[in-house]
Amino acid sequence: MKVLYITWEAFATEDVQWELDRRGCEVERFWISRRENTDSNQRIEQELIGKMSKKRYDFVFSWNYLPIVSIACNVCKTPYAAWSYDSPLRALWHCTIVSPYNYIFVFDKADYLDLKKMGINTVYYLPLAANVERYDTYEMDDEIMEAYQVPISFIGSIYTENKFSMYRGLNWLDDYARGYVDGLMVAQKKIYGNLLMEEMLTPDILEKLKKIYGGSGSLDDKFPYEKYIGQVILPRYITAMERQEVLSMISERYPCYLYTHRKTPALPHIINRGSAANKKEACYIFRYSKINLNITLRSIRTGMPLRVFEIMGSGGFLLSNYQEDFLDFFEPGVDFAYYDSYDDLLEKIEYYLTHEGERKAVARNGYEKVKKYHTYKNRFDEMIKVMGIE
Amino acid sequence: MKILMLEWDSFAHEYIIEEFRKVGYGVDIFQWPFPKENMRENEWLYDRLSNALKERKYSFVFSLNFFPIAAKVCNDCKVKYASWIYDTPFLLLYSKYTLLDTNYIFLFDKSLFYDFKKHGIEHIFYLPMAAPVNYYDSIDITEENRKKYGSNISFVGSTYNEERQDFYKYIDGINQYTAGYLKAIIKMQGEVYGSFLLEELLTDNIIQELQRVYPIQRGDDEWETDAWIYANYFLARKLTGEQRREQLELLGTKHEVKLYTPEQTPDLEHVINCSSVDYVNEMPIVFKSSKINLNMTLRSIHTGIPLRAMDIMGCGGFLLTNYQEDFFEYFEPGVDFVFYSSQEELIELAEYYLEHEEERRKIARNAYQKVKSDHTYEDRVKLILRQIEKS
Repeated sequence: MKVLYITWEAFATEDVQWELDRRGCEVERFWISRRENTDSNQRIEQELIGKMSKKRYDFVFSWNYLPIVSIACNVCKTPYAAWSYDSPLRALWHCTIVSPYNYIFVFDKADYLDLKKMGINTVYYLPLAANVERYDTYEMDDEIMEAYQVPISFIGSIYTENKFSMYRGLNWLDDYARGYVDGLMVAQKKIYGNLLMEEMLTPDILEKLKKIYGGSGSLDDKFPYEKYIGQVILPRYITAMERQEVLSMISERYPCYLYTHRKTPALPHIINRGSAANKKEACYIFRYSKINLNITLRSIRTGMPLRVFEIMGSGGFLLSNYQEDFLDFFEPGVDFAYYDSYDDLLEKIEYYLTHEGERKAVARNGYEKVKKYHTYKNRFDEMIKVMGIE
Repeated sequence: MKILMLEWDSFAHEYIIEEFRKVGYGVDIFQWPFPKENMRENEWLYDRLSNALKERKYSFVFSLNFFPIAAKVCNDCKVKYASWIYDTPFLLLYSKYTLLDTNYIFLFDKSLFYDFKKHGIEHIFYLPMAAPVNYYDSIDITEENRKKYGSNISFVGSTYNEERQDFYKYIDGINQYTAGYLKAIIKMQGEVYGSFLLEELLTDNIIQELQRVYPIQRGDDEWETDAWIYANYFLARKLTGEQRREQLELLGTKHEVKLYTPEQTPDLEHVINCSSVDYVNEMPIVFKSSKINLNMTLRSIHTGIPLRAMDIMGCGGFLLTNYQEDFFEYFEPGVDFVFYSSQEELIELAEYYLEHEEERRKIARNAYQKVKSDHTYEDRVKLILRQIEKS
């Protein structure tokens, strides 16, 4: 099978390559940097069309959805398999989404159902996956175990980076609007499983927010502004507050290791190890930590982020915030554990730290299930079946 | 065997008295001056009640809801005091006198029960409300009454607009930031059934501003927090009133909706306001002759089954209620009652059950049977007596 693999800075690029190689596909890579305009870009479109007209590919694949790739595939009548791992994914509001050559695999069920409801038939629900075969190649030894066997770990951003300090922009609001937005965020922070921000924004408040955030030229007209505020901007702030609070709360009580690329002066008790050096190290962290946390970015309404597959696929014990999609595939308390409030989180940490047998059994169940049903092989089997190009 | 009943203008006391008498207790009535008198420290009332307890020997004193002064007198006179709480928030319950060992406190709301159990009160019990099914059975509905009281959709209850009920007016003077914040958290709570968030969402700066505008005065025996009062009395009421009005109006644009309430509701153009009904004589007729009876629980009742819902089912009416956790302990959704957990669901379900008469009748019948066999005042009074006689 001949595959044109559109690559960019996506996190799981090599795991897809691994799977395509394993299947014996003839893979050619085509790089489109994140810095490029992928909504409309004649130069790249021409290059792609040129490439595809010289050689027939069975399908084109990319992480997320790039409209310019869809346009080229439409011209060359080549199936385009796009697999999302961001939510919301603004490109899914692009008018090309209904192109008959599109096979868009959406990892978040809420997003998938919204698109279906809008009458879009080129979308399919497909959760993310784990490259268990790769993780299994990493040898175990006592020294490594010694180094990584810690009570609690979290790998991820705490969103204090520059683009999130846009939060300060909220200070430009008048007192009433500022109070309103703060009230929304603080309340949403307590509610898992239902992102309510968009519908809570009144026209008056939206108008005021537009004056602050509206200027950024990157806004796609078809992506509604209230979605941008309610499903992109505010959820990031909420996640930033939540990760800060959760990690602060835990690190005051237990040794808590954080792998992130920024300094964290606001978390004096946390053990900040910097970014995980490589994928191998990430696997060791997941495998040997007693508890691996998943605190999902709040804009992902129901989906399971990539991290959770990597944790379970590495044989690690997963304690996640409540995300509805889990319940489609995994059994809570059997394959993983979830929390739906800070109190619940602290109770479960205490419980699983003191119940080693149970913790190990849960980690093993999660591992077995992911290995059997949630690998890149499973997912590409599914995608190829949907595209009907066996 | 005699019981002293502290009688005030509560619902259901006549049904309870009747049941006590049926099982062989004599019931003396003590006219209880609530809410007129101070219920915490009150020498005059203290003397009157202790004299009554000295004059005659009583097995125990009983009241609907809990009164600190009564608890104190009973304890001093070494008489048991049984109280059955059917209101929440009920400020008088947050008294250190609940800790007295002569108290037998029965709470209709399970979350409230767990809250109080934590405080180490010795005789505290979860006891849901009930319905006088035999009495309701005796009410025949004439065609005339069915026309007068019946409707496609009925709701009996307050819209919390009336002067006496509107606490929000006291905090008119809060600053803009706090006004915006409260507006937002009320709106968010409105979307969430089954989890009461308002209290924990009152952060220190918000509480300080509320205290500046409307400081809470409290007696020496009180131990509830300011946040609890603001959240349950001010915000929960505001939300309940707004949501009841909004949802009734919305239903009214599509169906016949009758509202039985003491307040005027000129802003609800599509709702037929029938003013208030008498609890004993008229309300059962409403429930029996309406196709759908709504229960929109006051939001400060965090999990409990409101009295209204028991009465609806005990009358053989069809109940459509907001989600309340305690229902699931005794009733099966879709079989005995139907619940909604969002405005869209409410609208859809109302529409569905108006169109599906057979299903509606079957559900109403199931609930009626269940209430008749397990949830009458007879059952409850037996439980109360068993607890009191046990120790």
